Amino acid sequence: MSNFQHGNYHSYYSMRGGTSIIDPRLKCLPDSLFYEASVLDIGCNNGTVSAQIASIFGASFVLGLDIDHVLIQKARKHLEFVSSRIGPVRNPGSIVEDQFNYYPISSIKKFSRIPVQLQPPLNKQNFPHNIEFETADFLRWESKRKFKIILALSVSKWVHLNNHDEGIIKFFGKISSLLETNGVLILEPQGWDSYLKAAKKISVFNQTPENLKIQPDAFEHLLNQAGLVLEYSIEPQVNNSEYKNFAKRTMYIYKKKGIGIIKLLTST
Amino acid sequence: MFVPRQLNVRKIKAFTGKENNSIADGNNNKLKDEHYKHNEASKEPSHSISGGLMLNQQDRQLIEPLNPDFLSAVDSILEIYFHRERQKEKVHLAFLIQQDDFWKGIRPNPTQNNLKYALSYVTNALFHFDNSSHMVIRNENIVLPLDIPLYDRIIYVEPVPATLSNKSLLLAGKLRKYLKEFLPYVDAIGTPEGYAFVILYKKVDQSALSKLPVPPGWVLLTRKEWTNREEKYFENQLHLVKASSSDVSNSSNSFPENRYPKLTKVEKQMTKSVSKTSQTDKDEDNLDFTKNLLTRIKNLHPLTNKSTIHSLLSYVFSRQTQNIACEPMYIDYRKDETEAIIRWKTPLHAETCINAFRTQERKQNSHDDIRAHRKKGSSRPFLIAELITGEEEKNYWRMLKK
Repeated sequence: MSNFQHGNYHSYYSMRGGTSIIDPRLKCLPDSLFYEASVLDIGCNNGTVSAQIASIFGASFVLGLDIDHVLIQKARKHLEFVSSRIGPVRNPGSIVEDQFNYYPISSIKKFSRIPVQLQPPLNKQNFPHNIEFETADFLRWESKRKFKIILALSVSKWVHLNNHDEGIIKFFGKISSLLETNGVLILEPQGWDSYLKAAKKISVFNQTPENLKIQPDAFEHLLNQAGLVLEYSIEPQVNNSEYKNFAKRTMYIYKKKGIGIIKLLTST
Repeated sequence: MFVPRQLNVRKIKAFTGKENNSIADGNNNKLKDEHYKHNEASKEPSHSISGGLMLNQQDRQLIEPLNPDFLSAVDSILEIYFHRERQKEKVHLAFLIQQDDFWKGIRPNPTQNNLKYALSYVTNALFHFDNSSHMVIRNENIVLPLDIPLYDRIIYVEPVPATLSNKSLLLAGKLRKYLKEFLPYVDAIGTPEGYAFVILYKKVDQSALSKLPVPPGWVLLTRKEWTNREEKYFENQLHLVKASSSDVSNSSNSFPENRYPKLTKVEKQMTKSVSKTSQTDKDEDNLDFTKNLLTRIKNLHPLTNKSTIHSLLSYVFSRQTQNIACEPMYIDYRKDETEAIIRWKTPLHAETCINAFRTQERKQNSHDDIRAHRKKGSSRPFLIAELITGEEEKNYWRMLKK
């Protein structure tokens, strides 16, 4: 895990503007998308996005999954930190954005975080008790439940590089099987140039791109075969220079129609 | 052809003509508010260079303009320098460059050439730049009476990214265009914890701060608002802890005395196992503890942390003796304090710690200083280790038992 070959960068969010700003990718999505929905965040890193969905965006339940146990430990601490900072909620039932960073960081550092188990529900959806984190490799993980929304933000490249073409097919197939009917997949795939960069940077992937037959352009076809249909896409926000690399990739919103026909899973 | 080595020559920019960016002259004998209210955009660098810089036209064509963050940072650094050193009338560029603390995170690295170039753009009523002597000179008769209480002039800042908090002068430079109504800066104090403070010349109130168009995620609070929120947080935390545990319902425990964290199960077991083999004490509360295990370290840097203290102790032990390993059971330290209480495994460890600090005479010069070598001219006091005994020792263990 030391060379971050799964994209498990330990300073991912602090390098991209800190964890105290609302993720611009979430702001691009429809306001009510997450409301009262069950959400799976694949490759949740330190849980920044998961915590924001569970608090401000009003998801009923969020499960953050990451392959790196250190990041999951960080995510649990981060959840304590985020929930400790939320100010007195004026409108019962919801956390508004200006309450998110209400208590100063200095007070958390001085008086310590408030453990999650001591905190009362901060919104109607029971935040911070409506969120869990788990260490697991998604492809080998067995879920006990289905989800209304699955997030795969900047993870497809790492699944693809580590598990090759079979892995990415299995990845999409598994996502489809875990989505409820009419469930939504929010996919933010990295481009092929990003694959080449990773191959150059991480020695174990030096030869990998040459052996991959599927490229990110073909993901839509694969997802269609897995029973997911592209609803719309969200283009990058070019003016968001303050977010550095955030919001520079296109996000695709797929919907699971009817009963997914997972041809590819059965064929492999 | 001479090209200053620090300037980026890869991008060749066209010289667009001479611009007269006059340096504050001697006639500016009063600090005028209007000076700080003027549009910051007028200070943005253009592609031209002021006539004061000793570069020929060919060289000028090769110079890439410095970024606005650098110019704002230089402006802020000099304001703060002349406020900190109120007796100094001038400062040489070479001296400024040597002050590493000033330039943390600021790019490009300061050189005489890029500072000269930057100062040709900086117009500030407090000082002017003399190109021939390379001196920045405080303008005569500029008096800045700091008669507004500090409490009303200090701002708490949470920057984005949080790492900016430790680069206080870069942060001050970035905030400059938003805080122009309240300038000049008097000081900027950074911390490694994600927050910093800037001290301004004028009084600020929270409603004015809330209206500033700062970038998303940045938090600016007045001292009053910051203190108010901290107090609220502490009350809220206390309320939640009391509500969840009947053990903590004894409200007579005021905050400073109730500061010692409880031992974990493992720590309790370890303490018990040691106490069986060592001298123990029992009082009327049936309190069972080993004597002479606690040492207090004084004069730590106020922004240090437990892991730094641990590393510092290991280093001090290694210089003192090769026979005893440094194994503190627990480092009891709270943020912003200059004292820590160390719980040792055996009284011998505690004694070694005390002797080590007595013989080695060290000063912790910064929050992350794990060697604590004495520095020439450092005004920080020596680190002191002392044994906690008597009633204080009993109270400590009693508190832990609770």
